Amino acid sequence: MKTHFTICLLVPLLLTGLVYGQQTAQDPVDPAHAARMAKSQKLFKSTVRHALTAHCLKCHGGEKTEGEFDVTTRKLFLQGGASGETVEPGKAHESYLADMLHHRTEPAMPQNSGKLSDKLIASILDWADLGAAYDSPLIDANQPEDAWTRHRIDPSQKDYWAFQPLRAVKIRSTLHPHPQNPIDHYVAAEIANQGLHVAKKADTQTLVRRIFLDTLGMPPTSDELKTLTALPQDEVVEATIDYVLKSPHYGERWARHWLDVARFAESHGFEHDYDRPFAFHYRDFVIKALNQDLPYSEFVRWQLAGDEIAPQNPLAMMATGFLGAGVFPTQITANEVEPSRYDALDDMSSTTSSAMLALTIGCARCHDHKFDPIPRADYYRFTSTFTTAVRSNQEIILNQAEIDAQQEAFQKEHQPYLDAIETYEKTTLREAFEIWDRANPEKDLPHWYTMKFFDVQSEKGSVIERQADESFKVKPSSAPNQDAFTFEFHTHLPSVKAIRIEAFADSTLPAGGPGLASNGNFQLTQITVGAAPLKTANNLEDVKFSGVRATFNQNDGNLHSRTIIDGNHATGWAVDPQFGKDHAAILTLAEPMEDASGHRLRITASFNGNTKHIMGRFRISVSGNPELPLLSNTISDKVATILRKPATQRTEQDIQSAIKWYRTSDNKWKELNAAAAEHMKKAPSPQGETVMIVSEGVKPIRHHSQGKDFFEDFYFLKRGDVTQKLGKAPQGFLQVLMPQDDSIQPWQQTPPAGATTSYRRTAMANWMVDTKAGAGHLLARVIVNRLWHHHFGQGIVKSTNDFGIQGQPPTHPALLDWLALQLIANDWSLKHIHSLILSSYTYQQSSAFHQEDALADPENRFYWRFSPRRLEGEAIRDSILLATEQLDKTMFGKGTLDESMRRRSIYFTIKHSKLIPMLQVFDVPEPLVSQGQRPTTTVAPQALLLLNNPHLRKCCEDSASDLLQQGLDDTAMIDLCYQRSLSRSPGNHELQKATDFLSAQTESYKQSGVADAKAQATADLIQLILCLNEFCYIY
Amino acid sequence: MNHIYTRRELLKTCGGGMGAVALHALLAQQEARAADSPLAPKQQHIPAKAKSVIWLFMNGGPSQVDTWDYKPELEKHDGQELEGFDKNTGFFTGNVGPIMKSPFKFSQHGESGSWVSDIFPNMANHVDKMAFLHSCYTESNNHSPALFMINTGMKRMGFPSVGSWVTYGLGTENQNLPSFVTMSDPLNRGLPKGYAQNWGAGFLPSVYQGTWLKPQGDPIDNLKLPGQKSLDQQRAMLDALKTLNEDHALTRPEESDLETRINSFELAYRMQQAAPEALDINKETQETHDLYGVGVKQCDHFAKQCLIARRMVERGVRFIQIYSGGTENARSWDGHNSISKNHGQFAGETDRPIAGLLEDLDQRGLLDSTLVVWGGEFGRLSIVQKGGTGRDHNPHAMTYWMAGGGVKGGTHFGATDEIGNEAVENRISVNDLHATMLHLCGLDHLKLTFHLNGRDFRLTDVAGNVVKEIIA
Repeated sequence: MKTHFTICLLVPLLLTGLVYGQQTAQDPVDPAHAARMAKSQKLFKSTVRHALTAHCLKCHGGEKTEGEFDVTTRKLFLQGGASGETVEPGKAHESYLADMLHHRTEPAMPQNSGKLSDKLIASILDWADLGAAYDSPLIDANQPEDAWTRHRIDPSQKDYWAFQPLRAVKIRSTLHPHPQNPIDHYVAAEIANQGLHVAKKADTQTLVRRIFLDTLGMPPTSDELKTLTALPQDEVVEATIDYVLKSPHYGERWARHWLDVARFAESHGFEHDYDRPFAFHYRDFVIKALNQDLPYSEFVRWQLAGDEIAPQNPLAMMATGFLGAGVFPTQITANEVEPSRYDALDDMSSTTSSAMLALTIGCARCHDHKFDPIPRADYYRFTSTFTTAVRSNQEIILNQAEIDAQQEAFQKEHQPYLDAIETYEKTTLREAFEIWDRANPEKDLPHWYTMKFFDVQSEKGSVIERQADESFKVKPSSAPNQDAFTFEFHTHLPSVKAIRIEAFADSTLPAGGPGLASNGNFQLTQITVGAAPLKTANNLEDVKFSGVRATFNQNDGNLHSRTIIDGNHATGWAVDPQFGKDHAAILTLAEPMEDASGHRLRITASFNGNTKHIMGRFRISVSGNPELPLLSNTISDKVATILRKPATQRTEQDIQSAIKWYRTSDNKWKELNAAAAEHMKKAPSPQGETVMIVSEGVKPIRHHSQGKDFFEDFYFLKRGDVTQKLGKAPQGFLQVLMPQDDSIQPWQQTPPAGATTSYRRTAMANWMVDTKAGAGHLLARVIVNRLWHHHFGQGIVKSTNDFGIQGQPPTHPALLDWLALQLIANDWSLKHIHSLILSSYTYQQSSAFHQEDALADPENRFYWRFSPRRLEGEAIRDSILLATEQLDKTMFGKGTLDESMRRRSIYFTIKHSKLIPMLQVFDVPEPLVSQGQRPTTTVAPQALLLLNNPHLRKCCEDSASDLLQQGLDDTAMIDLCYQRSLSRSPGNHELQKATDFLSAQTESYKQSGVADAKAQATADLIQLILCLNEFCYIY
Repeated sequence: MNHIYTRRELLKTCGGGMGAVALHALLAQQEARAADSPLAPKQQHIPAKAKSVIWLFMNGGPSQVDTWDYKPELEKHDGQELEGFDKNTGFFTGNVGPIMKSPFKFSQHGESGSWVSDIFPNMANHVDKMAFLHSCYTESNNHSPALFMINTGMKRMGFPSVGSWVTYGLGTENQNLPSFVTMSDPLNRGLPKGYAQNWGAGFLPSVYQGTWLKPQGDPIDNLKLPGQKSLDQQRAMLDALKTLNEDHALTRPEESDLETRINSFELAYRMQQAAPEALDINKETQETHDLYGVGVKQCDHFAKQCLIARRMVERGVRFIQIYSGGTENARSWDGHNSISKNHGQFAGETDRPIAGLLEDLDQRGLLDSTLVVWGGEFGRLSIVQKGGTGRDHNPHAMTYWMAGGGVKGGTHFGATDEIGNEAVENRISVNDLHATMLHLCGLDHLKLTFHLNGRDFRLTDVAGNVVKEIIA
């Protein structure tokens, strides 16, 4: 009976092909229920699945399960959450869920976005009412949790304008009344479309000032103004454009714009905000690159991988500072080590994508980008490019070419010295040796013998080089603070009664040596010697000494030479203050070593004293006579043997060896050598400068960290959490800017042999500038838009740092593409684009206001005039310095935090905790993330600064006293002030006002007993002009 | 601009004794001006009582179990090992000691019967004004990230501080004074770690950053006239400037920002007088000085800062933060070595001034419109730091209290475990704390956003729930 019943029910179920949730075949099924479920499922497929996924899933079953309410499956949905409230089919419209969705109760749902439409709420509740049918769970439980790491974008996502290739759009050339170049045609097309009007051209005087302020960030000097305006009227503007683009101030001005984008700063930020004293080189790179008009593609490539692409070029090395300009904590607890490193890599990749591509990929760290087609997988793969890149301070020779030329010239000067020595050695010296040889048949040879050298080991890894005179030189840069050296020697001397250690003065050592300490001192703390007869295989036996004597002892106690054999490392021989001269100590053996075959010796010299108190150049020798003078000559076994041979039996090689020894005691030879050495001191020495770069396989700048500086591998992380790793992230780029195949192979380069870097950054750099298959077209669009933005006060794409879907679309897409194509076609020359823009009629329009056009286009998005705008903080300050003739034009090098500095503002050091108040008050942003635009605010503290700041006041006072010294009358003086500050003469009315002010103010100061009343009043007048609106606006 | 001036606000802005006509003219003028200013008063999202905030920041991390979170069980377990303790919780991972009872006595106060440590004898009288949040926790065991977290909602550097968000959201009622002011330790003990980032504007326009009153020298830049100039001479200069600027503006009547800028000089001229006046506590009576403890050696410095805070609130300053203590260790509430000595000292420096501030605000009818917040960057462990009688950092538990500004006094919300080491009941994240502060100021933390590089940023990132239980 029961069986029969079941079969009956199954048939219609199978026929309709519907799946009824959790129902079993045993349950009696109401046909109406089946119909409701079918309807419910239809609703689910059409509307509800998407609604739940979009508005509920993230917090309820997706990334978390808020209130223990999970919507991923029907069972969980109907089960309800922690509140105990459930949704019952049939009563869904009266449920707690309904109240929350309708915002009739708290928490109103969805929580972090607006209320859903009534229609959508109705659909959800109807669906639940009908039985809450699911065709499949919202999250596929079978899908592996790392499925997203392999996510492929839909090819249609490349259709978005910013990801499309550049298009050359032909434009009608008849629309503009006075076109000066193609820009005007593109602009005129939109002017016509919008029913606007092309403005009159601005007058020449206005244009010269506009071009200077805009392109150099300062007005023309009165001289520049005079020279330029003296040209025939129709040449002035063109000449001005040429002039400013060649001015070195151009680089200083536009570098500042790029530094905003590069979030450039010179300190680490966070708790200690330690300085990055060598980071300023990046700023210098940007200025130099722009002034040289380095192709923008190269400018970009070097910033990503200059250390790989052009390591021999200091500019390319300096460029890598881009990657390392972000903030980084300096105190990192064990728990924070890995997250901090992921943050640092995030900073590099976010800044790279914002600055170069105007895409915000940082959002994709924790979830797929909400708006742009940048999946999380792309974020991790893109970021993995930087895995092993670290900040490092490196010595770099900044002017190699110059040094090469100098060295060549020097070598020419030096050659005669070497020739003189050579000639002398070949002629006179050889004769002198032969005379001496004949005159001394008994061979009155010195009795200090150097030994045959086998090996030396440094305990701490100092680099030791054996010299021609058989001394040993420790490379100063390799030396640790303490070290010990162990030598292996053989000597054929049968009887050894003393061992000598000589420490030599040397001009290449600190303070001339003989030690490596900064004052030239050393401290030999201990000498131990083991010896055995040469012919035996005996173990070495410790050699005992009966005494030590030395050229000089620093004191009679713990620094006396006798302490080098006392077994105590806390004491040792030192020679302060007798630096810059040779020293020696002789150790007398307690019992002579006697053996006809000679001896094997192992000698250890320890330097365990103060910082770098190590001998810089020293020699060890032995003798059978302990009474010899301390600094008497040495000879080697080999030469002694040669000299003892009858002259006839010597080979030419023997003679050369003998002469080499003999010459060290020849006065003339010594003189010639001293002269050559003296001249050599004038040799140009390549001076390395420390530069903060970013590279791999270099010593990272170390912080107070309870862990590693970086990790070899980079992982996909679940929800950005380092404790939830999902496998290594292989390098990749952004899929929307790659051919369908996601391989990065076309851009990869095999690292050269011996490379210490991964060449991952080179691959990214290649992809970035690739105009065929990579990001090159977007790269070009983004930079021409930045240039446009700074020339006009707004970009063709207004959101200069966001070309994504959240940003604004271009107002003139064809113009944007035309400019980008121009850039690429002209070898990525930025100056070419500047020149095009500055030469256009559009740029040269008057800034006059037109009511009708303003109503139609209040923001002037379509260029019916030139929009007036206020100068930035740096430009205001620089203009004040220039107008008061107080500007120090020194370029490059270390910056300062001193506000009284009178160089351009770009040379202020950017320290996070000490940002320059004078600039901050004028909206200079905190350099924390890439910023493409600055706000312009007008607030009282700016006025206070201009009125009361002591440094600005001092400029005005200094300028006033310069002016007064020139002995000009008031009228001439006022005229000059106007010329310098406003690039024009005052009108009659203004002149009258200024004259009146000057005399009244002078009188007022006189009455209050101020000694230099006129100077103070003049300073007031200068300051007043600098406070004028006209001074700080570009019209 | 929808802001409606109250009579009190108007008098505050203008100074007393002005005729009605003049007032009207000034009001109109101000409205025109303020509309252009990024600091113009803005409409609240939600009706709320608090117009100003005073955040008493106990820098270094005050210990919850030695101040407001009374735990009798702590005494019972004194000297016992804390089982299952993760040694990486604190900063000194090698100095993990046993559970340590509080060296201080606790007693109950007020109608609420709130337990208070005996280091706060004066503040204890005001517990019925305070709402205690016992279950706060943060995300870092390290000063600087924890300071950034509590001040900006993010452990990382570079985000706008709470004060910047509030002034961004609400503007300010007195254009003659800075809208957001911070005061740091004046006894040469340094700044909180991370320095000015703690009151920075991050990516918000820099007008919203806190104005740091420098403890030495001139507290605010550029307020003093340069050289030998008198106010009259400056006035003459400003008059000439105004004439020339207006002549220029006449040629460009449509450019409204020229007018704004002309006005900014007049505003600056007034600020020169208004700011020093606001900072001048000599204008206060001896009785008021005594109330705060001005002149009392131990707490004089903090008393003066609290009194300045009240004067600023009176004058419409929006957000004030006062740091008790300097950089770290013994210079702040960072009691690693000895809780009794360290907390004893800093409680002594702050107890009477804070009590005085609450009393004074209350007497003057300002407490309702002023949100007073007390707390630090993290709490401290219930165990002793080996080698002394202090406690190491603890991100898992801290107590905050709020008073005034629409807060339900005498309430206690949330709880830590039996020994006070970890928040367990009604846990309150820093985002929750911030959402609550914003809410009390009339700002919806979900609506207070700033768009940057393709993203709408919030103080509370992607989280935050208002703790409604403490709101009156």
